[in-house]
Amino acid sequence: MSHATAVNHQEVALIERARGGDRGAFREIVGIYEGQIVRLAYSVLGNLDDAREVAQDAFVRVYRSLASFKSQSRFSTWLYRITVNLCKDFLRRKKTRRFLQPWNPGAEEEGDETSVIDREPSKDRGPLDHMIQSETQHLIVTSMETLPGQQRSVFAMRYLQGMSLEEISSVLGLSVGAVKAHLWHAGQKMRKSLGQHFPECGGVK
Amino acid sequence: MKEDDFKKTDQELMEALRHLREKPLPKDALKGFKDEVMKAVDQPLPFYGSGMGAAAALIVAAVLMFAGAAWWLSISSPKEVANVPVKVETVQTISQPAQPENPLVPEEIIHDMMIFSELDAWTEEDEDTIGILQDSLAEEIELGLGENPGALTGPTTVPRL
Repeated sequence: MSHATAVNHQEVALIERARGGDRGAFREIVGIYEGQIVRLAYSVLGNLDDAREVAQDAFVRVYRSLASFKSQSRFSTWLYRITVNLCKDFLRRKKTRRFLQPWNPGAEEEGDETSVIDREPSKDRGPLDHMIQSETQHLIVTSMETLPGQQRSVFAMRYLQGMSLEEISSVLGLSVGAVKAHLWHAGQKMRKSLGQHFPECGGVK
Repeated sequence: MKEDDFKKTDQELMEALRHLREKPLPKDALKGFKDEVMKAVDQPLPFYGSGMGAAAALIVAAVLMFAGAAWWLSISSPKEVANVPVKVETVQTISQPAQPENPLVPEEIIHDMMIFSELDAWTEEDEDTIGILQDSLAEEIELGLGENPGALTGPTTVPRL
């Protein structure tokens, strides 16, 4: 038995136990996936606090929907899908809140709270400072803000998470062709934004 | 979009963002996360969070809205009725039930006339003036100017002393 198969069997057993109400088993599942899910949410949202919030919500939803989980699909795919959908909802809500707020030009430059990425380091961000201390990441996340929801998710999964086209396709329920199209359009926009900073991207000068 | 173009762009971006992709999430980023999740799992689902709850909340909100609208109409409609012009005859009947012989002369003026008569300050000229007053009021009513009940009681024309 290969290592991957053994891990998969172990995971299936944990899911079955969690379905039966074993909280310890669910805690183990959280331990296995927390890093991947927080990272995925962070790569889409660009803010660690928001990412933790969304990731927590994803695990809670998974716990409450375990009975409806069909073992035909992979648990990780299901969990990723829930997380990405919650990220989209989060961005939509945030966009609405930003739209409803009175315009404050100064706030945006100073890093207002409604921005997907906090532009100024704050003490409550903590570990995020470590993550976005580089100007590179700052630029990328800022540029990603301009992408539409689906393109943003696809871009983050591909280039910040390193997922394959097939994985993204199954998580989002899209064809591989549709994923490529989203990546292409997102890539073009990002190249324009980042081209001057990353010549290796072949950006427009 | 050509396949070759896509592959090229894909490779470029994969290469350009490699360092971000391979950068591990700091351990502190997950500090206490598991406990927070387990704590959240224990909390009861909010009423509005469930599908049924949301539907019920929507129905309740709609009912409350209709009830509010009905209440508003019920309190605002009497005011509108009060502002609707009423026929002068109706007002006359209500405001002057005790003076059927002088239906067009306000009660206050009649009272004043009586006082002036007692004081011998009432002449035949004054009587004629009252006649003019009655005629002018009748004309106003015929022309529809007397729809306002106040026109009957207001000091439109006062007999000269």
